[in-house]
Amino acid sequence: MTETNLSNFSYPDLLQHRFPTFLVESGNHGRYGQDNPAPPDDEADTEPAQGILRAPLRTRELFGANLRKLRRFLNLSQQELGVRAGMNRHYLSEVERGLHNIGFDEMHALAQAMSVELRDLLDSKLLAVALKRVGN
Amino acid sequence: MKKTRPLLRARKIFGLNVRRARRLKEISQEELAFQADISRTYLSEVERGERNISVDNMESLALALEIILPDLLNPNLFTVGANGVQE
Repeated sequence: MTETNLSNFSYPDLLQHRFPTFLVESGNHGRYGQDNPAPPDDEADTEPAQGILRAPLRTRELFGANLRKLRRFLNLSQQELGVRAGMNRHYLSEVERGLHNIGFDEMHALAQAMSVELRDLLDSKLLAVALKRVGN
Repeated sequence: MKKTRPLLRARKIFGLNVRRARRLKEISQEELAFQADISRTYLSEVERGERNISVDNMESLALALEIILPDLLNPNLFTVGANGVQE
């Protein structure tokens, strides 16, 4: 990595950045708890129901959603991906639903298991590029 | 257990980007740690790539640094002419 003169470096104002948004049911913000149990089938679609509002997507939820998208695109089961990345299917299922505060190393392992970079799973544009790349 | 090379490299990239972004903002480890609600020691270890930092803490750091997380993972974030820096 080359050291560069940082005085010319600029970064767009965060206020102008369009954060990824996520459709969730009003009131529960997409999280599961006592009042809102997780779907019994871990492959169940997480499509929101009626009466929705837009809420900022937390990074772990974005990661989980992108992970699931890429895994399904590659026709991998949770079991298969779990074996490749060294974690069990139940944990993976919960990660995909954004229920775990997953560590860097685990996220990296999951990305590597599907031949993408970790940052590809944290950005919808990068994911779109990655999907094209791994698709052929 | 011995860690694999690509993993260590990825952690280092993240740590270096955090450190550079922090210096660019001219804030101390103390200040950034406070803003991201983590300890200074922990931040120092993260910057050196010695910690398996959690996704929530990565998010807090990105927010405190005002840099989106995928960019903090980009090895070319601070490289001139690379796509890491948006025009």
